[in-house]
Amino acid sequence: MKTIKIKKIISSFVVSLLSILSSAALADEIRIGMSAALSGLSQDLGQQMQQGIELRFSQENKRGGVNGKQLKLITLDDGYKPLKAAANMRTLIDGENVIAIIGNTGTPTAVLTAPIANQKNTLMFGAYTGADFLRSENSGCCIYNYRASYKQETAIMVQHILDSGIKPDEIAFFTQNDAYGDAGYSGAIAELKVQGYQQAEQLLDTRYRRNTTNIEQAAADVLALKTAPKAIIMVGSYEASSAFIKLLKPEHPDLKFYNISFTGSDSLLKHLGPLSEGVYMTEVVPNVHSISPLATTYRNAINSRQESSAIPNTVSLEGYIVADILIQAMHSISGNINRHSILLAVEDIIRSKNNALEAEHCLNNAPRQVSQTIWLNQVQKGRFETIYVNRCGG
Amino acid sequence: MKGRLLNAASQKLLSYSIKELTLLLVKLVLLGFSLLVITYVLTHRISAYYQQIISDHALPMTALQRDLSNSLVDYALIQDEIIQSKTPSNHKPSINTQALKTEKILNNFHQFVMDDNALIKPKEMLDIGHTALVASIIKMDDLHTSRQQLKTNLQEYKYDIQSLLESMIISREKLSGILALASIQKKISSEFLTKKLLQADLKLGINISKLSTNVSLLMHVENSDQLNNLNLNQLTQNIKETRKSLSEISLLSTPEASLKRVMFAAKDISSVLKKIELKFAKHSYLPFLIQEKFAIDADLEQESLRFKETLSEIENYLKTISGISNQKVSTAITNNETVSLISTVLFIVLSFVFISFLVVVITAIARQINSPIERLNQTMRRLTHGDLSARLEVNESVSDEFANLWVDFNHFAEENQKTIIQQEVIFDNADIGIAWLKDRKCLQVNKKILDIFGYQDHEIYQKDIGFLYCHYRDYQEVGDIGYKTLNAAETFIGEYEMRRKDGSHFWCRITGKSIGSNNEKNSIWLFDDVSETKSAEEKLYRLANFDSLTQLANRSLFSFHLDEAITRSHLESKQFALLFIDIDRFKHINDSLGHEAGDLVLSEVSNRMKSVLHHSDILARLGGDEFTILLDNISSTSEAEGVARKILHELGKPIIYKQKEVYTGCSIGISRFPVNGIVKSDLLSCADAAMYHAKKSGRNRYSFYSEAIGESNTKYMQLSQDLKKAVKHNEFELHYQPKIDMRTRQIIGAEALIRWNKPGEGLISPFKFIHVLEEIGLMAQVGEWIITEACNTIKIWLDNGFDPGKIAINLSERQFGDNLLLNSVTNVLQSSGIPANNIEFEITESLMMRDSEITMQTLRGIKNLGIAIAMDDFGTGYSSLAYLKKFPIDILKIDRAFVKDITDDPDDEAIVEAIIAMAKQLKLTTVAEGIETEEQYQFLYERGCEIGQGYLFSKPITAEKMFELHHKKQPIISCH
Repeated sequence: MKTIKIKKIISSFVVSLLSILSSAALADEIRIGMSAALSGLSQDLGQQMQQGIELRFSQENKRGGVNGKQLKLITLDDGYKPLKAAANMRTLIDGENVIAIIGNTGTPTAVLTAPIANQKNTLMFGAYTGADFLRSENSGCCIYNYRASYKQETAIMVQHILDSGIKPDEIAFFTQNDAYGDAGYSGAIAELKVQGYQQAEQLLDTRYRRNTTNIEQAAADVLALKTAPKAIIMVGSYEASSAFIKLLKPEHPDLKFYNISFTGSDSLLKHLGPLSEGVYMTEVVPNVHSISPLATTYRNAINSRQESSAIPNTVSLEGYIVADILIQAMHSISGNINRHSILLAVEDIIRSKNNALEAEHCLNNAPRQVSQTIWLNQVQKGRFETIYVNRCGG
Repeated sequence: MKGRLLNAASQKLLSYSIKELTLLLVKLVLLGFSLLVITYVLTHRISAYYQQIISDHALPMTALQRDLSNSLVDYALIQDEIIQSKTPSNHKPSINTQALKTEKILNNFHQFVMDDNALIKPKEMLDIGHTALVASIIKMDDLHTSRQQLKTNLQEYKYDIQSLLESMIISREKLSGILALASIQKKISSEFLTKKLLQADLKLGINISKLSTNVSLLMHVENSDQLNNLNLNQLTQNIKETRKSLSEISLLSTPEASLKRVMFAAKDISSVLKKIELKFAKHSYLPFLIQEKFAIDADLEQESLRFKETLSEIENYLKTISGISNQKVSTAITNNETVSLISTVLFIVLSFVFISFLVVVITAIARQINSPIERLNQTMRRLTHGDLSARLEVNESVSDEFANLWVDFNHFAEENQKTIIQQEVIFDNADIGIAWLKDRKCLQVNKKILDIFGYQDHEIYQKDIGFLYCHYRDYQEVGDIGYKTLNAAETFIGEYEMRRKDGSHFWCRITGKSIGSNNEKNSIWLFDDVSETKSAEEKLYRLANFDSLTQLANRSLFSFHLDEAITRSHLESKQFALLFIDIDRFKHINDSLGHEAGDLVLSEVSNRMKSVLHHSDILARLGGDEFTILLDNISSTSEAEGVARKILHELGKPIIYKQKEVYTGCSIGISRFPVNGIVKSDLLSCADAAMYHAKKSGRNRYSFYSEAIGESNTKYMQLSQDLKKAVKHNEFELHYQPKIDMRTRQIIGAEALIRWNKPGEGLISPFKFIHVLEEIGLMAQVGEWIITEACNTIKIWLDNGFDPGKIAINLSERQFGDNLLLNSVTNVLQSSGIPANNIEFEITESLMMRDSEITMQTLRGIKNLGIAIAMDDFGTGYSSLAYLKKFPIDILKIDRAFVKDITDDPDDEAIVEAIIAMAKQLKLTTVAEGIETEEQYQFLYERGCEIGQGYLFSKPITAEKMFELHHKKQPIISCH
């Protein structure tokens, strides 16, 4: 009887010891989740975003982590499909026990993932989308963004087009037939109206199906116009957009193509080849080749990583910046780093004047967004060059 | 009728004796008891039988019914689970377990049913119902499993078709886009072909849309009616038409090189179409699957209905069974109740009859006992009311049991009568008053009481005896204390002053003793006239406690009062004072004027003191001329002070004895309670000490005791004790302070000074003990020792060739009491053989003031021996020149007090100068004491002082040191 009791005591002791050890092991790392398109037609976006975040995380981990804890990014592939993204969110938060979600890609996916983050009181930060519904007052408790909105991007496009002497009725739209396309389109329309063009809705808006390259009809629609447009505002994926440009460029060599940041500049360049010359693109991060401090530290980080053959690109720079802001927020936490405290820390960073960030990103103009700055780039001699910067939305 | 019968029976019973009646009573009790026991046993048996029926049948049946009901609920739960489950799962094991469990219950049931025809049929129906239920539920399980499988297949199928359709639509969109682009770019050879192609594309679109519409209709069909309404051939038709449109497009675009991509798209669509066709063919048509699903659904529904029916059937049988068994149980309960009712009635009737018989018999017994006892009572009452001649009549009517008692009783009454008469004679002739009181009223008194008090019998009888006491408080005291003693069953004895009828008082000793119980306050009291004894006692008391001369309390009575005062003041936290009075010069009066005068003085003094005291103060004579006063309950010391002053004043007045005025006075010491002590001895000794202090301080005064007095008193006592010892053990020694010639500073003599070498303390100066020695009367003895010792030392010195000059020896006043001093000096001089001029005696001024003949004679005698006499401490006392002339003085010693301040104080300077001048005129040698500085020496020397003594030259030293000094033979400059 006695020996049994002792055995029981010992075994329960061992079990509790093990559980303490394992929880200590868990407590030694900070788990951050990400759901992105790692496969499919938009896989470049997801992969590059992931690389950017991992780059910054590993840099931090080499320095000893945050509060002595290693950062771990857990990435799940959603193939740019909304239902899959929603399932991923649940797995990350409930199963993988991450304390925040970072760098998700896509607008239609965000339509489903944002409510889940809100419902589970988990921070969803720096999603790779500029959709408005993530930036409004009623976006919910837990949604915070890094980048400027699609609305801001398309507004810059409209301004640039009109500034270059093109009339409003010489503009056409090429958009994806979903929330992403809608966001870009409505942003531009609103800006056109601001500029005094009330018949904006009558402009051609030709759409294509998501996850396809069925752009021929769209091209036909443009070609069918009686007066040929002089500028096209494009809200699409790099696959579809490049196919579209390929078709139209030979027909209208002077036509100006304005792409939105989400399209992905490097992939677009890769797919278009020489045809890319003169194509415009708005960006929400500095040019990777520029001497901006963010771009410089980013390039240094990439160069110091000998094991990876990654080349600097815009999307991974955004991932790098998003991760950097999150790490700053974590460093500002004095107690335990958990779902609650990290949410409060990011909120503080965005709402209060953080001087370091202020200089770089223009805080406070929008309640849920770190950066307001948009860079307008143009392909010149096979490379995107910044031709205009709209710092702080001004 | 009944009454008459009972009467007759009781008449008959009365003829029985008590013994016979008792026997009858016992028989009746036995009979009644056995009847009751038999009835009880019978009813208990019957009741137990019915109880058995209830417990053996009803309870297990109820339990089994409950188990069965539970079992049915479990079946229903399993059925519900089967219907609700989404995934195909096997419920067979749980069904089997449940079936086995229910079988077991049914088997148990069988055992109760076997011997009951009414139950057999419902039981069989129950078994059949259960079998049906199990079969039904198993079937339901099977059906549900196949339905789930079918559903899964259908879902997969639908999903595949849907994605195929979607990809077909996307491909067609592509195709259409390419065509549109080609047409706008005008890459098609002819307008006509373009038109044709666009038409074909449109047709293709329409067909694809028709196909997808029909497919989705089929997939969303909800019941078999809808399915039947669908034209299933339409689907085949749609596929056919789509293919046709496709081939048309292919045909049209084949020749056009620019439309190659259209061809590819068309091919894509065609392959998807083939897949769709295959899908439909493979599953031998989708409708079949759907149909099958509907069929299973219907079966399932039907089975579920059947299951419910069987369940309700079984419940009905269960109800029937429970109805039958309830019937059985309720019959048993009713029978049981009837039996218990009958037994209760039987009990009541039997008990009634039995008790009636008992009452009759007991009444008879009671009557047989009652009537003789009534007669006994009457006779007894007569006896107690004084009719001593009352007797019981013994005749035949008295039953045997009582006849003997009657005789004994009569004999007792006879004896009683004799005794009472004897006692009355004794009572009346007793020589002590006897009274029998009840509630302090006289019930009976004897003749002696009437003689003592002088009352007649009727004047006392039945009256409260309060009027016999002189003082009402005595009557009350006896009521309180006396009766308390009596209640404690003890005898009370007291002596009180009582009053006779003629009003005269006398002392009476009363002795009380309680008789009977405490409550009745019945008591016997003896009254004895003790007047004579009482007066003899009082005389004795006065002799023992009072002083016969002054009629004051004596020491022992005072001590008693003091004790009382201490106790009382202690309790009431009050203070009192004790005065100790000693009459001054009483001894002198007594010695000079005789005892008669002494007695008169004492009486007068006591009367005078009494006159200033309150009634409550106590004055006592302790003996001789010592009186004490106890001032009780004083609030301040000033009260005691006032009394002391008054006494001093009164006693200061002269007392006339034989026409002569005699003066006296007194010294009063006062101690207070509780300040100076709380016990008798302390208070007395404090007062004594204070009185002694007053006396010492000059008499005719009072003094309060203080700690200082106490302390000095204690020290004094100790010192005197030690000194007595010192004298006995000779602890004294002599030191010598050299005297020098002022001119030469050579030693010319010394003063012998006594030192007490007290063991443990060392040398003690004479200032500290000489006066004590005087007071305790040892001074003469010590003084004589000093003379002898000094002379012996001088003798040794002389023998050793050292002439010490004049050795001064101090004489005490006490040594002059008689002629003994002169004798002893003469003897010492003779025995030691030293010359008289080697010694001189120093006397004090106070000695001369005694102006006594004896002193003068002694001094002259000394002088005649050739011994010089020095006057010590001159200047401190009267310093009278007359004395100096009258007494035979040779030397004058200037007191150290003058020498001390001689150089500072002009007064002292003048005095010393005067003394020296006066001494010179009288031809006296002057000696200055206490010279400590050269200035003092110089001053005295210049003024003509001849001899000096003091620390400047030498302190007192031992005889040996003296001898050593002599050998040095040099002037003493200073000893510092």
